[in-house]
Formats: sequence, structure tokens, C-alpha cells
Amino acid sequence: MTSGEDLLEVIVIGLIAGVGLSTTFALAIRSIVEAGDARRAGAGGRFVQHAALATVFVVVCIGAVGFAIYSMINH
Amino acid sequence: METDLLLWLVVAAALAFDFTNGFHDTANVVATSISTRALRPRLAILIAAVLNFVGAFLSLKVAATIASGIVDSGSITLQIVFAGLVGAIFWNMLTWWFGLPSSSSHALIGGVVGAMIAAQGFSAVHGDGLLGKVVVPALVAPLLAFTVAGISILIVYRIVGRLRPGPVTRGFRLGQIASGSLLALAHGTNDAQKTMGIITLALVAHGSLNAVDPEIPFWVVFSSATAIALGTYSGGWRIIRTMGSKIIKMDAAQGFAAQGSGAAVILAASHVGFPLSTTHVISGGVVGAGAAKRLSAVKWGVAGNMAIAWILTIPAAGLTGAVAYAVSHLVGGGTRGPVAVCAVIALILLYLLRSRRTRTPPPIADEAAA
Repeated sequence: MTSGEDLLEVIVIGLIAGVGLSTTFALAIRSIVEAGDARRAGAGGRFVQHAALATVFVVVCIGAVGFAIYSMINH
Repeated sequence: METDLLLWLVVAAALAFDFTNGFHDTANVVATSISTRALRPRLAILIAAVLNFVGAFLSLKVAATIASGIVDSGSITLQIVFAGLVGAIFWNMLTWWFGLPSSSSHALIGGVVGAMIAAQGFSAVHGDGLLGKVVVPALVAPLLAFTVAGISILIVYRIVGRLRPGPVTRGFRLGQIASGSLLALAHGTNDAQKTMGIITLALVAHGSLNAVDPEIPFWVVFSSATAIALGTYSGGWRIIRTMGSKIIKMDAAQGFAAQGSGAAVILAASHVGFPLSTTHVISGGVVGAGAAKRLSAVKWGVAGNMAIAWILTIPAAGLTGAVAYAVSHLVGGGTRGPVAVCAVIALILLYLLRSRRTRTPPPIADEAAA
């Protein structure tokens, strides 16, 4: 249960999951805000680019939440 | 008849512990959301309570053992379980009184270990189990969460630092609602199971359930879920205030970094099979999110008091569990002992509730509304 290997796994997965989630969510917010700015400025190309990125980041975040719930139920 | 009474005393104590576990840990789920005004206080604890209730039904893999691998499970009796619960409830109440977040799981383990030592001596306690399942995770949890939340907030500030603050704040507040909800669900799933395990163990010891692969009765699941949800809904405002505003004054991004990182660390660790204390993780995350922005932003005195409370959890709950077992044994053991201990607890609770100041409106609600 608390072998060095398990401990290392917890630290690595915890770091990746924690930093990854926060980073992805922040990128999603940035993309959404920039997509909004582009739409207001009438820059269609930039809007599509930021909206697509926002969609990807939001989907990743939702996927992480879904995986967390799945993991909770099946643990 | 006498064993029936003892069984119901243990069930009542387990549900009382479940209730204190709920209100003690409400802060882990809602403190940052309330502090950054992502949610209104009452709505935040209502959501947390409902999700704790739902979470209790999500998984029913109850091991029917408590402090497994830490004490000699063959030597556990209902009197020891009862005394252990008393120790845990005492520590939860005491730390709540001083507004200090501390681990309810560690309190329960401490209580059972103390009662076991009083009953069977030190030989019934597995030191390596205590080290591996309690001490190491207690060190890893806050440090890992501190590091993760610290790195996260630095990256987050770099990503969104030059954007207009309005939509960014709204975005992180939404994220906090999601991460807080996830934490509440995880809390209900993990912590209500501890109570279900204790009650199942009591029913097996009583002979009401088959010892081999006992099927958990629905009333056990429902009552455990209800107790933790009611405890959560009653809101441990003192601890919420400590975690939400006394350690750092956080913005929405910091609140999300602390809570989101905390949720990710808890669930990742749980997935690996290395469960960490929600309290230790979220507290470490809050301190990390504050310290990464500016070291002086953290009130280190408050953080130090929390660390002291964490160190004292096992010994203090253990001592109370040992005293409860000794009192119970002195009165005559069996059912009479726990009845006498119950009477003492009832008197202490009555005193605490009567001397408690007016709880509504809670201080953090005032701050959030201001």
C-alpha cells in the first residue's frame, strides 16, 4: 500500500492531474474570452480558431470530471 | 436484550460520528466557493449536502472493517468500536470548536487505536500499518496539494493574467462549483462508507448479518447517507471561516487552483489506491495557492495551528478512546459501560450547545454579502 513505488505513482499522477486540470481549465477560459473578443471585433477567422480551442479544452475538462465520477463508482 | 441495546448504542454512535464527519468536512467542499463568492453560503452547503447524500449510494464496497491493517482486527469488540467512536467524535467536536480543520478518518483510527491499546495492550496495534496508512499519507497529502496548487496558480496567472478580470473571475467561479460538487460527491462516497462499515461490523458481531459476505441492509445505507448529509447541511461555520478567509484572502483563480487541484489529487490518489485525507489535501492546496502568489499572503500562524491539530489528532482521539474504554470497563463493561459513557457525552454536548454563540448569520456569510 505504501511502497515507494505507490508513493511515487501518487505524486506523479497527482501532479499531472492537478496541474493538468487547472491548466486546461485556464486555457478554456482564455479561449472563450478571446473567442468573445474576436466575435465582437468581427474577426471571423480568429473567432473560429479560439472557439475550436475552447471546445477542445472544455471537452477535456468534462472528460476529466466524467472519468473522476466513473473512477469513484467503480473504485 | 442486552446485546440489542449495545448494538443500537454502537449504531447511534456511528451515526453521530457520521454527522460530525459531515459538518466537520463541509469546509473542505464549500469554503473556497463561499470565500470567492462563487456560491452563496446556504446554497453551497445545500449542494454539498445533497451530493454527499447521493455519493453515499454510489459505491457500496464496504469492507466491514475499521482501522484495517492498523489494529488486530480479530481483537476488535463492540465496546472497543464504541470507545473509538467516542474518541473520534470528541476530537471532531474539539477541533470544530477551535475552527481547526482536521481529518475525521484519522480521528476514527486514533480512537480505535487508543481503545484497542486500553483493551489489549500495544501488541494489538500494528506500528507499520499506522506508519504506512496514516503517518506517510498525512505527510504526503498537504505537501503534494501545496505543490500542485502552487504550480497550478502560477501557470493559471500566466495564462489568464492579461485578460479582462470580469469573465475570468466568472469562469473560475463556475469551475469552483464543478470541482466543489465533485469533492462533495467523493466525500459522500468515501466517508459515508466508513459508517456503513462500522454498522455492518456491529450487525455481524451481533449475529444479525452473515459474517461471510454480509449484505448491507438498505436502512444502513440510507441512515449513513442521511447522517452525513444532515451534518454537511448544518455547516461547520467555524472551520469554513478558517479555510475560506483566515488562511489567505483568495481570489477566484486561487480558489479554483486550491479546490480543483485538491479534487484532482484526491481522486488520482484514490484511483491508485492510496486514499488521502480530504482535509489535509484541501488545506494544503489553499496554503499553496496563497504562498505561490506571495509568501506573506499566508497567515502562517493559522496554518501552524492546523498542523499542530493534525499531529495531535491520533494521540488525542486515542487518549479519549482509551479513557472511554477504561470508563466503560470500570462501570462493568458489557452494555452498562457504553450507557454510562453516553450519559457523559450527552452532558458535554448539552453544555457546548448551550454556551455556543448565535450561529446565524454566520460570519463568512456576512463577509460574502459585504
